Amino acid sequence: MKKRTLVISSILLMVFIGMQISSCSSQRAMIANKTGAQLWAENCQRCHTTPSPNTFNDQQWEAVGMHMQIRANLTPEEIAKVVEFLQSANQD
Amino acid sequence: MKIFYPNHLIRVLGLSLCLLVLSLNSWGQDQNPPAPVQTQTQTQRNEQRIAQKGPETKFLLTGYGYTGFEKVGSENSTFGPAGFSPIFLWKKSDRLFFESEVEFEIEDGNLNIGLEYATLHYRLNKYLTLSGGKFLSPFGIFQERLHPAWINKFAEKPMGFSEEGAMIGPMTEFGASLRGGAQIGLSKVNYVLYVSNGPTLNTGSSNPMDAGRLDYNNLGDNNNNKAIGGRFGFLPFSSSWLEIGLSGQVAGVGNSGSAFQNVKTQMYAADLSIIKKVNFIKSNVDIKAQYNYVQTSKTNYLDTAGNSYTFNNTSTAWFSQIAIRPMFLEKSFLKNVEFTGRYSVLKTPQESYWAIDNSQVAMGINYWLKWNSVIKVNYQLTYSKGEQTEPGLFIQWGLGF
Amino acid sequence: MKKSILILPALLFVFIGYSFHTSQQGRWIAPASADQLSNPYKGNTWAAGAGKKIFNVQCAACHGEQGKGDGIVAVSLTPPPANLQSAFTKTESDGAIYWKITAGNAPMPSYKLALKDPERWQLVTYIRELQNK
Repeated sequence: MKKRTLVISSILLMVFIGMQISSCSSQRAMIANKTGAQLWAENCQRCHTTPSPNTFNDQQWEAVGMHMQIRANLTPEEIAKVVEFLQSANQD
Repeated sequence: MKIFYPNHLIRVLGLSLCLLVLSLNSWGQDQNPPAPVQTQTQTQRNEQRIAQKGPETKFLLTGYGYTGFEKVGSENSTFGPAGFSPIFLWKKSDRLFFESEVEFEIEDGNLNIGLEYATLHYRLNKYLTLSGGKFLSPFGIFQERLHPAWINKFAEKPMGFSEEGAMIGPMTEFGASLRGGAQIGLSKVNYVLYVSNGPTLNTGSSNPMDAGRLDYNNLGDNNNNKAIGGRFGFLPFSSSWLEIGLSGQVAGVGNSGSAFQNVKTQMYAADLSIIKKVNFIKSNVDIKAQYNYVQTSKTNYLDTAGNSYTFNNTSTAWFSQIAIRPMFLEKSFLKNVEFTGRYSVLKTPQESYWAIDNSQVAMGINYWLKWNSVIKVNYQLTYSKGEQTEPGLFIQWGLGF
Repeated sequence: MKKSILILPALLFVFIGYSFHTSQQGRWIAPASADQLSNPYKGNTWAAGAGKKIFNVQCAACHGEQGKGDGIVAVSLTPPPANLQSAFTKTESDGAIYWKITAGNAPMPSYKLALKDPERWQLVTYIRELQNK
C-alpha cells in the first residue's frame, strides 16, 4: 500500500517538475530578473536572521557566499547576485 | 511486501536524482540568463576592488560562541553549556573551497574538543559540487542547517537530536558527497548524495545496557559496507517560503567477520520549513519540523545475565517548532522579541535496556540584540512514561560572528 | 536558593532594558548642492509606474513595500532603513533623495552602478507618489 503511495507521489512529482520545465518564458524572466536584494531577503532568513551588508568586506563576502551556496544548495546565479549586492554596500 | 523498507525510498530518491541531474545537464545549457549590462558594471567594480586588495585567496574566520545557565528537575542549577566554535573558510578559486569548524564545548562539567567538520569542495559545474572530508549530515535540516546556537531558536536541541538520552540519526558523515541546486521554472530543487563510513552497531560487548544502540562516531569504519544516503529538497514557490525535504541512509553497521556482520540500518527523515510574513499579527513566522526514523535489523544480543534476547530495533524522534517575531511593529522593542514554542518526541525500542518514551514541550522568549546575537529564555517540560514530569529553565546567549 | 535563580532573569531584563535605545543618532543629510538637481520626471505618472517596479525589487526588502522602513530585513540593519513616508523625508528635495540613492550609506548600498541615472529619478518620482497616497 505504502509503496503504491510512494510510486504515485513520485509520478506526481515528476509531472509537476515537467510542468515547471515547460512553464512560460515570462516566469523564467521573472526569476532571471530577481535582484540580489530580493534573493538576500528571501533566502538567508530560511535558516538564520539576515546578515547586514556591512558585516564583512568584499573578500570575506566571497568566502561566505561559497560557504552558504554549498550549505543551502543555492544556485550559482542566486549566490552571485546576493554576494554582489552585499559587496555593493561597502563604500570605496 | 508487508513491510515498507526505507531503502526503496532511497533507491527511488537516488534514481530520480540521477535522472534529474542528467536532464538538467542537457536542459541547462540555455539557462544562463543574459547578464544585464548595468549590473555587470557593478560586478566589474567589485572584482576590481578585490583584485586591488592583494592575494587571490578569500579567507574568513567566523563561527559562533554561546554561554548559558540551566536548572533542570531536581539537579543543581549550573552555568553552561558554553562553547566556542570557530569556522574557517578559504575560497581558493571559483571552484575550490575549504571549510572547517572546530568545536570547544563545556557541558556537564567536561570540556569537549572536536573537529565538527573539515571539508574540501570542488565545483564541477553549475549543478554539482563534489565534496570530501568530514561534513554535517544532510539528513533532514536540523544538524546541517539549524544546530548552531545563534540559529537554533531554543537553548536546547530537540530530543533525539543530541547525545542527551539517545541520538536518532547522524550528526556528521565522514566520506564524500555530490550536491547542488537548480531552478526549475518557478520552483527550486536541491539534492545531496553521499557515501560515508556510517554508524556502528553497539553490540553490548563492553556494556550490555547499550546493546543495539548506534554509535555515530564515524572516524573509522568497522566494515567495508559504506553508508549511502541523500536528501532531496523541494521549494515549490518562487519566493522560497516553503521547503519540503526527504532524506534517507542505508548502512551496514555490524563488525565485518562478526556475528553481526549482516546487521543493517535504514533510516529516513522528512523535513519541513516555512518562513512567512503574516500581516495581521505584523510578524514573521518561522516553522520548522523534522521527523527521523531509524531501523536496525533484528538480531540477538546478550542480556546482563548472559542470556540471548532480541527486540525490534526501531527508534523515532521528531520535533515541530514555531517562532513568531513581531518585526513589523512600528517603533516597539517587541520588534526584537521572538516568541517560540516546540514540541518534540523521542521513542527508542521499548524492549531494549535503553528504552525511552519521552515527549517535551518547550516555550521561550528570545531577545535579539543584533542580527547575530540572541538571548534565549526557555521553560520546558519533559514527560517520561511512568515518571514525574521534569521541568527545566534555560537561559542562553548566542553570538554568530 | 530559589531566589538566587530569580536574580538571573532580573539581571537579564535590566540588561535588555539598558540595551534598548531608540538611537536617533546623527541624521544622514544630503549636501546642499543636491537640492539644485531637478527631477526630469516630476509628477510623471509613467515614470512613477516604472519607479514602482524598480522599488519593489531593489528597495522593498529593507524599506518595505509602502516605504515605511519596515521591510523583512529591516530589523537586521543599523542604522535602520529610513521611513520614506516620514515627515523628514517629505521635507527633503527630490535632488536630495536622488543623491542618497546614488551615494548609499552603509548598510545601504550605492546604486550608482546598479541603476541607470533615469531609473534613479523614476524611483524618486515613485517615492513622492507613495508619500502622497
